[in-house]
Amino acid sequence: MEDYKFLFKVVLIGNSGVGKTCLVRRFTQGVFPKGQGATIGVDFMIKTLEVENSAGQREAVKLQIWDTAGQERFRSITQSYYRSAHALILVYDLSCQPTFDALNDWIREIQEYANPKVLKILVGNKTDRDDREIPVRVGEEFAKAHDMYFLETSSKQGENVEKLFYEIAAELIEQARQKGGLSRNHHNSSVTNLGMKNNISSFQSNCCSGGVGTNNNSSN
Amino acid sequence: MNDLPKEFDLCVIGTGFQESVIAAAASRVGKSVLHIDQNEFYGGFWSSYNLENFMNHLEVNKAEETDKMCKIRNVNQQWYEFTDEIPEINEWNKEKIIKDSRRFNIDLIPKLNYCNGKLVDLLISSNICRYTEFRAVDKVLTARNGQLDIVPGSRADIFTKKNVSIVEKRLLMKFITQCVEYKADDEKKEETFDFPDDGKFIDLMRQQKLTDNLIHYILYSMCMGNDETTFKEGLDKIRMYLTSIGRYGNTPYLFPMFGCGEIPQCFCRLCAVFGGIYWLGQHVSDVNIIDSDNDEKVVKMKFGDEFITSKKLVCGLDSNLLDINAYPTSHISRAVFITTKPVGGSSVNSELDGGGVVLLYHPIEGSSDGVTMIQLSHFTSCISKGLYLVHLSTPFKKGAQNDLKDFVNTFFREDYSSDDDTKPTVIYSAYFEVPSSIKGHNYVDSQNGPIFYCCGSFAELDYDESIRQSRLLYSKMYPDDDFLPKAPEPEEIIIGDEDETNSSVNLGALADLVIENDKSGDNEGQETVNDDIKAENEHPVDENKDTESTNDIEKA
Repeated sequence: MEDYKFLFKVVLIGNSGVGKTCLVRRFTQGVFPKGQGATIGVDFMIKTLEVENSAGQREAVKLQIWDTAGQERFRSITQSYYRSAHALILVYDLSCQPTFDALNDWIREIQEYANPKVLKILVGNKTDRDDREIPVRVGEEFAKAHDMYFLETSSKQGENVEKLFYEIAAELIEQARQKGGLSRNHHNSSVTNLGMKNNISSFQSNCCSGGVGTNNNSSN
Repeated sequence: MNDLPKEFDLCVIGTGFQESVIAAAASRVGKSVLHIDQNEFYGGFWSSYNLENFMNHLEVNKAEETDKMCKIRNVNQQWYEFTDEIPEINEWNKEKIIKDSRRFNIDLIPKLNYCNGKLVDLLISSNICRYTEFRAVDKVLTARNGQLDIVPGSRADIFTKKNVSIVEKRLLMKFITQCVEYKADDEKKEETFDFPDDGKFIDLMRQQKLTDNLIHYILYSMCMGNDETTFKEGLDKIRMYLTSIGRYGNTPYLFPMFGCGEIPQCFCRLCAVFGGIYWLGQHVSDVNIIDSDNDEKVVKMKFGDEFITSKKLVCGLDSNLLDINAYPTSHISRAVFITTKPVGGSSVNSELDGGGVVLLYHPIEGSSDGVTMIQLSHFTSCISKGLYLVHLSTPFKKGAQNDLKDFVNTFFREDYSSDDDTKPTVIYSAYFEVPSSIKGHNYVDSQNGPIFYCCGSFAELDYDESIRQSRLLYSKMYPDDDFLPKAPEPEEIIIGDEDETNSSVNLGALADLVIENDKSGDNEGQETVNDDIKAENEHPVDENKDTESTNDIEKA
């Protein structure tokens, strides 16, 4: 069995071109994609990291990082994209004022669709650019006003990218711990994810042994 | 207009179920897709609404009396009249409920899925299952002479059932086993059933000496049938029911978390992941079929201020482009109730605050149809904790209120008397009729493109007929292409060295990029990913999910 204690879903939002995909690629693969085209067929990336918890122990955390699949282009992100996200990274391009101006629209969308308890992080991306339009202080203030964490990053140079995701992981572990140790072993069994192949067999052996479930087996 | 391409392989108008399936399937095999909806939200008739938007949506549609066939019609909404003597019921009143509006996800077209049904199979085979989660249906109820009873599912249920005698238990187990093992072309039919396909299922059960008690459970509940149900229909239904139990626990049915409006969105997400462009709140006009440069028929239409062309155009039931005369449509009579107690009171609810998802099918006397009730608690993230959302559906006959009257009188009440817990008081009710398509009608053969029309929903519990129609339409449109082959897992996609030529991965190249469980070294930086995904399949994404938390939808 895979050795990790927590699995968290992190989703990215923000205007087209702010560098959401580059952030994910830089973090998960250590590369900065040069091209502009969207990567077709990829909808989330996975990376397992080790994070030190408040008690000083190292714990394996798996992050599932979801990208918008281009649906942000015309403000048409499916609500289901926000469902069951543990953390939400709202990204703007610090060299592009309109992407910062759009943040209020994104905040409205978060309030409407996301879980109110979701961890929110504001990221000003592209610190490598020398044509900055949004001062650090302005970003900080916006984040503070909307109860968000704040960080500036550069996916091109890798600045703060690791830090961003490691801090998210650490914070989510802490939250989970406070909620009462919601590790992967405490999954709410009433919610069914169709991909849970392992659980299918255990259901069949535990719940329906020799019963209707067995007939099911023999008929297949 | 925002550097949108001017030419597409496919333009889809409307984000209902069938439209979304077609869009996803086309995008998946590399077609360029533009998918728009006149609404600012996904789903059309297949959407889930919060309470205020649901009420408004019905009001707006009530006002329009024209073009009734493809609209919601005969809307009647009512709130319980709270008085000084009864200012609230179980601590709820109108103001308090409306304040919680965003905790609601109310479907116009509620559906359940067999665990072994076509939707579940399609979600898994296409890998779209990663976008959604389901709640197992907690209880299947049935009613005899107005008394509610829990339908036994597993063998354990059957054996602990007090009102089923030991002889009946043996008969039932034998019958169920025979149903599952029956093969139409089996030479040893005498070991199961030797019975004509068009014979009546009830006659077979009587021949097998099943008691009225057992016939009731099997025919009216598990099969959702009636006295006219044929052997073949009944057998198909009971087999689907039985083979569904055990696949995801001790339940035959699943209900999507956050409501059925999630389902079309899952397909839209897949379409977008494979390059489909989404734009809500948009119309097209001036739609014309023209000859393209290479003498193919294409669709030219005005989109915003510009013209775009598309090799094919697919229109949903709610797009104003639909040629209604060529499109036989019927209606489903619907009711939506909000109550503070589950149906049946303590006789069928061990924990009154529990619930979850409850299904009750009740035949209408003198009719081949029945009323389907789906009752949802807060565990589905469709309603506040302490309230119950009740969906009633039946094929339209005389009108929603008329068609559902007897069922409502049997299981609900309009007044409030605190000592009777068996019949919940209806605090909010909405009656209306939604358009539906006609099962068995051939909607596809007469369509020759380049404009194609989608079906609406069908008066069925699940999505099976909708999926069948989607496949038919898709194979008519793209006879040489696969229908929703499995989308690769994230770790199966190897993104090559980034240079200007291949930084944008196109679908033609995707096959080369997909490797199966390749653990060899050329996927640098991804080794962890490869190993992780297996555990991923074992453990769902939602471990920290708090089903009681607010997850709100709001639609403009």
